[in-house]
Amino acid sequence: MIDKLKHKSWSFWVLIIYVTIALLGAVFNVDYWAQQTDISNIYLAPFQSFSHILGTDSLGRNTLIGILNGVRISFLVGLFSALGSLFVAAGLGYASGYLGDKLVRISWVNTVTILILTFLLFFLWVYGNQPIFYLFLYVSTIFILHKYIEPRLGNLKSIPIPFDSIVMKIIGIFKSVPGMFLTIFLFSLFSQRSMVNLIIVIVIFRWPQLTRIIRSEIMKLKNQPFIVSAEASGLNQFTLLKNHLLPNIIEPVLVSLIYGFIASILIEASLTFIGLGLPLETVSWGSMLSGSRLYLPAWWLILFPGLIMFLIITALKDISNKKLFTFEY
Amino acid sequence: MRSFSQLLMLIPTLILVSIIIFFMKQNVPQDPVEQYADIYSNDGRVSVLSSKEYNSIAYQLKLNQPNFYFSIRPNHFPDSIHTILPLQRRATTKALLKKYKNWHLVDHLMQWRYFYAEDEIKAISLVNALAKEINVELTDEFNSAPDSIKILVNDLSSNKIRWPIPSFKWHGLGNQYHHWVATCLSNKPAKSSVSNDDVFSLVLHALRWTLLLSMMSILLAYPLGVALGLMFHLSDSNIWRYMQKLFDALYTIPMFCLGTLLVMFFTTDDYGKWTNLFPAIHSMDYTGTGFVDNISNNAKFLILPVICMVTHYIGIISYYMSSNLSKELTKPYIRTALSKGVSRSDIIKKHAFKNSIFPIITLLTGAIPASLAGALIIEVIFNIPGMGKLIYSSVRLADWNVLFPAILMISFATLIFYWLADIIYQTLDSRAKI
Repeated sequence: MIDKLKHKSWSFWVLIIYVTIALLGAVFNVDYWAQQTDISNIYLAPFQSFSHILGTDSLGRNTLIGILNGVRISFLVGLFSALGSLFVAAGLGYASGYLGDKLVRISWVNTVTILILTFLLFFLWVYGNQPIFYLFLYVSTIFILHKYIEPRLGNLKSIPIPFDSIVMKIIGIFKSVPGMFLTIFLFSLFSQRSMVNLIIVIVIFRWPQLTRIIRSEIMKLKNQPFIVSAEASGLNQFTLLKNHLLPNIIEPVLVSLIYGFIASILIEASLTFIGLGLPLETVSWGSMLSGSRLYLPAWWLILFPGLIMFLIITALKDISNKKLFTFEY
Repeated sequence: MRSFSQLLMLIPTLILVSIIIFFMKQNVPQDPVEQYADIYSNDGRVSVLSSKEYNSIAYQLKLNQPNFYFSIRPNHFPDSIHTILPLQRRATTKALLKKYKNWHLVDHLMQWRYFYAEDEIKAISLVNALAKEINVELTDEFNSAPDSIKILVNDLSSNKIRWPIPSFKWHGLGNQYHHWVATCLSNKPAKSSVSNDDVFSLVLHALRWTLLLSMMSILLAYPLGVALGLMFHLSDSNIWRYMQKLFDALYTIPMFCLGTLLVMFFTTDDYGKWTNLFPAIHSMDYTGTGFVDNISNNAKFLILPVICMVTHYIGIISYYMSSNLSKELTKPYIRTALSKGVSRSDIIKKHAFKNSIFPIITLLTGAIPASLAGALIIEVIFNIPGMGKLIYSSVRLADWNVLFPAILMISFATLIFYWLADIIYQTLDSRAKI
C-alpha cells in the first residue's frame, strides 16, 4: 500500500511531514515553547528577525512555534476523534446494518431478564458503590443465563431485536440539533475545557454520520450472493466479518474516516477561534486566527496558519480522492 | 397518508429530545437560584442570599418539585428528598446517602453540620472525617461531637445496607420537567438572565436575521452552483478547468479563515485605500424602529458574509453537479438515446440534467433545516445578530435560561423542517416514494 502511495502523490509526503512534526512536537513539549512570551517584540512582522521568523502575536509569542503546536493539537484531536467515532460507529453500524431488525431473535425469557438486569445495572451504577463489580456481575449473569439456564427451559417463543430501528432512532435525535450548536452546547456543559473533553464532544457529534455510512455499506453487501452463500455454508460470524465484510467496506470507511479527520480539525479550530474551544493560554491555529481579529494589520497571524491548514486539508482530500488505498488479500 | 404517519412518528422523538435537553439543564454546574438573584438585584452587586430569600426564589422556580413525572430511587432515600433546599445541601445529602445507605445517619450528619454553623470549619472537618470512613477512630474532633451522633455512628458502622433496592414513586403533573416544557411553549416564556428579554422574542428576532442571511446565500449559491457545474462538465476550454480548481480551493479554505481574510482586507485602510470597500463590521446599528428599517440600515454589512457563504456553497454544489452529470451520462438509457440519433444537447437538456439534479435537491432539503441554525462562525465573525450569535453569546455568559429553550425550539423546528423537506422531495421525485 505504502509503495503505491509513494510513487503517486505529493500528498503522501505532506502527510508524512505533518505526522512527524506532530510527534516531534509532542516529544519536545512544543506546547510549553509556544506559550513563551516576548513583550519587547509584540506584533513583529515576519522576516524581520531570525528568532521570530514568521512574526509574533499580541503577547510576543512566536508564530512559527504556534503553528507547530497547532499541528500537534490538530493531529491529536483529528486522530483520536476519528478513532473514537470509528469505535462507536463500527459496532452500531454492524448491528444496524447486518443484524437489522429481524436477524437476531432471542427467547422472551431472555429478553425480559436482560431488560431487568440492564435497568438494575444502571440503577446500581448510579446509587451503588462498586460499579465495576456490578458490571462483572451483569455480564456473568447474562452469560450463565444464555449458556446454561435457557437451553433447559425447552422451546420458548422468541422475539426479534430491532437493532436497526433503535440505532436509527438515536441518530434521528442527534440529527435534530444542528451540528455546530451540538458541539458548543455539549462542550459548555463540561466544567473543564481540556482536549480530552473536546475529543469526546467531537466523537458525540461525528458518530451518527459514520454509523450511517457503515450501515449503508454493509446493507449493500448483505444480499450479495457471496455473503448469502457463505452464510448458507455455515461460516461463523467472526470469520464472515473478518474475511468477507471488512475487506469490502474498508475503502469507503477509510475515506469517510479521513473526512472525519478533516471535520474534527475544522471543529477544533473554529471552536477555539470563537473562544469556546481549548483554553485561552493554549496556542493553536484557531487561537492565532482569533488573535488576528483584534489587530487587523497583523496579516501573518492568519495567512500562515491558514496556509498550513489549507495545505493539510488539501493533502488529506487528495489522498482520499485518488483511492490510493488498495487492500489485497 | 404516509407523510401523516411520519409526522406522528416525530412525536416520540420530540419528547425524547426535550427530556434529554431538560436533564442536561438540570446538571449544569451553576445554581439557578443564584443566577436568578443576580438578574433581579438591580444594583448589580453580588450579594449573599439569606436562606429565606433563597427559599422564596427556589419556590418560584419550582425547585422544590421532583424532576420528572415519576422517580425510581433506592428505598432508603426519603420521599421528600427533592424538597431539600438549598441545592448544594441536596447534593451533599444525596452523596452521603449513596455512601451510607441509611437515612437516619445522613439526616443527623446534615443537621449536625448545620448545628455547628457558627463553627463551620470544625463541623465540615468532622463530617469529612466521617465521610472518609464510617468507623472512624475516636479522635479529638469526634469526642467533641454530640453523644447521639456517636451512638448512631457506632451503631450504623456495624450494620450497613449493602444493596440499594429500587422503589418506584409516581409524582403526577407537579414536576419540574412539565413546568419547564410548559413555560418554553407558553406565551409567558422564561426570561434571559442577562438582558431581561423573554426567550421567545430573542429567538424570533435572531431567527429573522439568520433566515435572511441563509436564504440570500442559498438562493444565490444554488442556481450559480448548478450552472457552474454544468459548465465545468460541458466546456472543454482551459479557463473553466482553472475555474473548477479555483472553486475547489475556495471550498477547501475553512469558512472562518475566509471570513477573517475578507474582514481583514476589505474593511480596513491598512492594506491600501482601494481595499477599504466595506464599512468596519463593528459599526452596525440596530436602532431602527422595525426589522425592515434595520435591514436597510445594515444592508451593506450583509454583502461580505453572503459572499463568504456563497463561495463556500458553490464549491460543493458545482462539484456534485458535474460529477452527477458525468455519472448519469454513462448510463444505458443515454446510450440508447444516442444510438437513436438524439442530439447531445437534447439528451442533457431533457434527460440527464433532470436526473442528475435530484442529489442537489437532497442537499437543499438538508440545507434548509440547517439554515435555521445559521452559520454560527459567519455570524460571530461578521457580528450579525442571528441564531448563531445568540447561542454563542448565551454560552459565553452562561445564560442557561436562553440556551436550553432556544436549543429546544431549534430542534423542534429542525425536525419539522426535515419532515417538510421529505414531503417536497417525494413530490418532486416519484422514485423516492417507493
